[in-house]
Formats: sequence, C-alpha cells, structure tokens
Amino acid sequence: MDCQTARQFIDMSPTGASCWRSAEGAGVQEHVAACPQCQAVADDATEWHSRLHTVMTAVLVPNGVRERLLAELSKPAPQSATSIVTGRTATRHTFQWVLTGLSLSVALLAGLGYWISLPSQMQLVEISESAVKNLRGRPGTELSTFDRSFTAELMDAKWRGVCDPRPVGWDLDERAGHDVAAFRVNIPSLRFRGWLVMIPLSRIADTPSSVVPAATSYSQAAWHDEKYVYVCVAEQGSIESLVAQWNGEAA
Amino acid sequence: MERPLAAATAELVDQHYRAVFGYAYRLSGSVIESEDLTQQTFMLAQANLVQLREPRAARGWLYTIARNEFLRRRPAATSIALEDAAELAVPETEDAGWLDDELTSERLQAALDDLPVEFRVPVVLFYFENLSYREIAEQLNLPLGTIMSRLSRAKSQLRRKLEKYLLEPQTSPPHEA
Repeated sequence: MDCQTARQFIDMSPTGASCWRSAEGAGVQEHVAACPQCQAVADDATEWHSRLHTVMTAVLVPNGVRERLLAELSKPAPQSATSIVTGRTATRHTFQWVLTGLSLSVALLAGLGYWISLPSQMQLVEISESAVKNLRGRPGTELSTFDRSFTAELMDAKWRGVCDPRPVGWDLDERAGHDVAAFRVNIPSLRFRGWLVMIPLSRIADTPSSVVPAATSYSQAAWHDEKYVYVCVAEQGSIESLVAQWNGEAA
Repeated sequence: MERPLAAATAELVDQHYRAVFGYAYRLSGSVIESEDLTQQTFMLAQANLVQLREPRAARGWLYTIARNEFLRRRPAATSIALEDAAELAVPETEDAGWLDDELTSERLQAALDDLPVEFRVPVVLFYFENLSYREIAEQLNLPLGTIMSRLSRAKSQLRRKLEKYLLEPQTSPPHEA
C-alpha cells in the first residue's frame, strides 16, 4: 500500500468506524505502523476527530423534554372505526346518526351565528403554539408579509434595534386578515436568534401579567404594554440570558 | 385519555432521547426544532417498532428517522446543487460574547450553522455518528464522489474556524438545563 492510498483511507474513515476492521483497514494500519509520516497524519486525524466528536455529542437537553415526549407518546393514536354492526342494529344506529347529525347541524348554525357576532379572543398559549408552528426553522422569506391588519409598530427602541423591520404575519381565527405580526430578532452579542411576536392586547384573553420580558418556558418569554402582548420565541440562544440582559440584570 | 406506554417504547425513550435530541440539535441548530424532531422521531419509531429487529441498532435507526424527518421538512430550495461552487461562501462567525479560546458547543454549532444543509448533514454523520464516507454515501443515497467533495470542503471550513479552539478541549451546552 502506498502513502496516498493510506492517507485517503484515513481521511475518509473516522476512528472506530467499522471499515477499520476490514481487510483494507488492516492494510492501512500495517502501512501506518511502518511509515512515520502517515503515522503523524493518522494521529492528527484521530485527535481532531476525537475532540470534535466529544464536543459535538455534548448537548445538554433542556428540562422537561423527556416528560413531554413520554406524554405525547402516551396519547392514543387516531383509530378508524372498525366495529361491525348488522341488521336491525345497523338500521337503528343509522337513524340515530341521522338524528344526531341534524341536531348537530342546527347547533352548529346557531353557534356559527353567535361566533360571528363575537369579537374573537385567544389564549396566550395559542399564540405560543402558533408561533412555534409557523416560525420553526423558517428564515422568514417563506412566510407571508404582514398584511397590516393592525398597526404593528415596535414602540421600544431597543427592540427596533434588534428586529428586522419587515414583519411576517399569519391568521389564527380563520377570518380575514392577519392576527399576528412577527419580527425576526437577531442579537449577535447574546448569540440569540428568534422571533418577536406581537398581537393587540384586546385579542388576548389571558394577558401576561409582566410588563417586561418574563420567561414562560425554556424557549419563550411573554409580556405586554398598553397596546400589545408580546411573545419572544428563541430559536438559538438562551431566553433566560435575553430576559436578564433585557431587564438589566446580571446575566 | 392517556394509555400506558409499551415497555419497549419507554425503554427506547429512556436510553436514547438525549442522543436523538443532540443529533437533532446539531442538524437543525434550533432547540425548538430539536424537540419537535425528537418527538416526531419517537412517534415514528413507536409506530414502526416491529422494524427494529436488533436492539443494538436502535440508536442508528433513530438517527436515520430523525435525519429523514429533518430533511423532509427542509424546503426543496435548499437542495440546490452546490457541487460546482469553488468555495463555500459563508459569513465569518461573530465571536462576541464568548469566553477566550475554548471550543464550546455554541462555537461548534455556529460553525455548523454556517454550512449549507447539504454539507452539514454529512459532517454530522461523520463526526457525530462516526460513519465512514462510504457509509454516509449509502445512508444519504448519494454517489461516493459527491460525499467526498462535500466533506472535503466542509471539513476544511470547520478546521479553519475551529482549529484555534482545539488546543484545550472543553465543552459546554447550548442551553443550561
């Protein structure tokens, strides 16, 4: 085996990979043992790979992930109706279904009229969940530009300084117009990237109590001012550090 | 209404959820997306548990599910052909706010985030999963030459950005638990 072949194999085969146990791997090891130059190349590759592997696999998992995961897996899977009914039982069931359907239709129509007449309010958790759903992994260009269905103006100069001035938006109540505006946030000094979501105060049923950013989970903070409710969603970086920095505390 | 988890699923979660989360984090660079990917991975695993015949292969199997799910979510626009690019045109990572010259988890992630997905995925397979080029080519269903080209450029870039931190190896998490 020549040096070039050995070094190419070394470059392509991380330490511990199964290919080192092949006949070719054994040949490379034999060559390396007899060639100081290739030995140095192999040592360097091994050390570099080992250090990078160590750091790359050292990711701490935020609190609660396991519990949320187990809870999600415990939910019943959607099942198709598989019961078998025959004869008179089937006829009776069909009649009952028709009656139930008619009753539901009437109730739905009445409910729809009532719903249309009401100003819709949403829970903060709906905003948080829709933010995660709409913004997760999105650079911003794939989302709809905010349609200015309300005046989404960042009053706080600090936020204006770290937000992309072109908000995106989305609809939540399936009525005309965007309900939510979201600004891309980038704070290099904190290694923070995420979104600042804003929605008019009157649209939120459970306004967050804080008037300064306050962490509501490991990746989100919420607060309000006199006109809007804000939710900041972290994609990278720590929401706790952001909150501490923003509120002037020691990070 | 919740139902008791099958013992096999619960065991799978307990043994591998940290590794799957870490893997998803290195691919996506986002804590939120990592949790979502982890959840989706285990839901798919739970639904297809009969496919797992060899328990020792569980982690690799979960990684494959997570990676496929990650790639499935990427918009088609990211699958651009970058093979002809002479250099990876990426911005230099800003270093403000970090301590001295340690290789931290954040620094590594920032360097990974600077790589286009087509380059980042094989890098994660190489350094996280310890797969050889040939195995990566098989996993991603790509020609070996493509993998060689992508990894050559990506590894060079990583080395350029991170070598200075590797004198004293240290780690730190992306987020405090």
